[in-house]
Amino acid sequence: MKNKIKPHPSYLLNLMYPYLTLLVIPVTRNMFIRFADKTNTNYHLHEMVILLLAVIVAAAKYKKISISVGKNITVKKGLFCKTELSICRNKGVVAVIEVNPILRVLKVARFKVYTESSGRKPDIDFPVTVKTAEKLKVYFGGRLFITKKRKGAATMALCNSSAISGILIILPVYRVIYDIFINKTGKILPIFGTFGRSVVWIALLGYAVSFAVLTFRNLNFKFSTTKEGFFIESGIFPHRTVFVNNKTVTSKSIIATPLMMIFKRCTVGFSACGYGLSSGETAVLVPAARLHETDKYRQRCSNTVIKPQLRAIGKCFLAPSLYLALTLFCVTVLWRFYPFLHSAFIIITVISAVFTVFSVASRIHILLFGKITVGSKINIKHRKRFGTKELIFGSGDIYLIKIKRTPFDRMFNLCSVKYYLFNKSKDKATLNGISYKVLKAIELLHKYTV
Amino acid sequence: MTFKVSENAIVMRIFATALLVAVAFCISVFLLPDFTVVLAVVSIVVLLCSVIFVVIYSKTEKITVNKEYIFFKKGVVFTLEYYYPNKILIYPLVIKPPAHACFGLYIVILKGVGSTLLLPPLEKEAVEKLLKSVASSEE
Repeated sequence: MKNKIKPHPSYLLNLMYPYLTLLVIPVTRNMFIRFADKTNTNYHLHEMVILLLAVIVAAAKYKKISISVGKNITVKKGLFCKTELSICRNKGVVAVIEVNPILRVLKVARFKVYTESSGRKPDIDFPVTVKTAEKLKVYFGGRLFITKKRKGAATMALCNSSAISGILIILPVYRVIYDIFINKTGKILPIFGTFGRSVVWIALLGYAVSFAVLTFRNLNFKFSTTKEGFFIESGIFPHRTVFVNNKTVTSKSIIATPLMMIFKRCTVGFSACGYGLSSGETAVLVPAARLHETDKYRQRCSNTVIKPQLRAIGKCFLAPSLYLALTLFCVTVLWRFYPFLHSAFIIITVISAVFTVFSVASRIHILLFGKITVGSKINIKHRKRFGTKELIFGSGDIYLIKIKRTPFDRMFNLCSVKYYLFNKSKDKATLNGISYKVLKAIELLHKYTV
Repeated sequence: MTFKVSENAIVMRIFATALLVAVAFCISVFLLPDFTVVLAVVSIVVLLCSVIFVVIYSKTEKITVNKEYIFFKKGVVFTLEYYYPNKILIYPLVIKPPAHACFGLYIVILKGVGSTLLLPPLEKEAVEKLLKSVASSEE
């Protein structure tokens, strides 16, 4: 069944926008004229003409737009340069219907379609009426089977907001500037105290805003399954409904940051058509799942399990120790030349030491609990920054396996393996300290000889 | 199924080349008015060479569609061959710019997983046949 839909009339503003930028030239010119000759009142004519032309062209373009949904989603648009695209629904798409508070007042929803070929921007992006959006939901999803509410938006936001890293960087920088200024002037100006406090407040405010945005984005999280895929409804500002076709999901991931590990929670995400790469999007299936709830996302029967070897423990200390040694060396050398920066150096050393400890701890954690499970699906539990990430994908989604051996690895018959996935998100997973013989013996590798 | 660049496309390219050479000639005459004759001779030589190159280059462009992939070959001195598997094709994008519309031509861009293939300008019938053969090979 073919349905024709038309974008909301507010799309006219989108179409007028490129032409309105032309008004910058006459407005600037007219400001000069007005400044030179205050009696001249004819200058508005040019602006009116350009505005009128922009409106006429936008209206003509709007009339030419045609969107039809049936077996394919077909979009025809363009006045001077005509474009036609036809996306087969069976190929797998991610459809998003977004409503923010301003659009809600105007009863407008934003309709977007992502495919594996689209860049960061969606292939289709139009405003539609809320009524049309409801029809599109039925078109994509059909009958909803099960709807579940999922909580944990605030937990996920608390553990994933990255303002802490910002504070760690701002603090030494502020201290360096403060110390340099004291050294040069010999006195502390009140403005620096105010500046320092402002910087800290800004950083804390940044964390609060990041926390609030992420929470509101995932509040009221609902997950519904349909015949072809699943729906995810979440958020208040904006409210987003995402339909994901099962065919488009190339991988699932279970992510646990250090803070989430304290709460014994993790986030379950997915990769589909690159949804989640743009700002404002989070490809999340479960915001904050309990650890036992994630078992259903992993494969039930695991044929082969490969774990890192304990003899690779030396490697866990190697890189972080080198980093700490380098930092101490630089700090020592610089201290000799710039003794007045001693407090900044102390802060840098402390932060580096804490970073080293965290890095070693996360590497040891993966050494003990990381693994590759090869069966109908492949699970790789690996390190991601200071937390863990478990990537679950089919063997057909791999496009490259890279095996790396350093001299240290050769001494102990070890290697590190990196899997690259064939999807727009460019997922990859690396696991170090694997026994080289065991890895080569896996039949899977014989199909993917590098 | 094999598709080649039509005569309309070659005429369009020759026209575009001539326009470029004419614009370059006008600008150079404006900058160097004393060398008008020399510039005219150079422009004619450049135009003739460009037209010959455009015709030979257009004749080398060939699109072949089979069950597994789309094969696109082009180039005179340096040749390029693209093998585009059908399984990574997501959708074709058909564009009709105003310049191409004057010659009855369309541009087809094949959008695939992490890739894009720009095909040479084709006429309406060729575009329809190409899209049908691509659709049938996907099935």
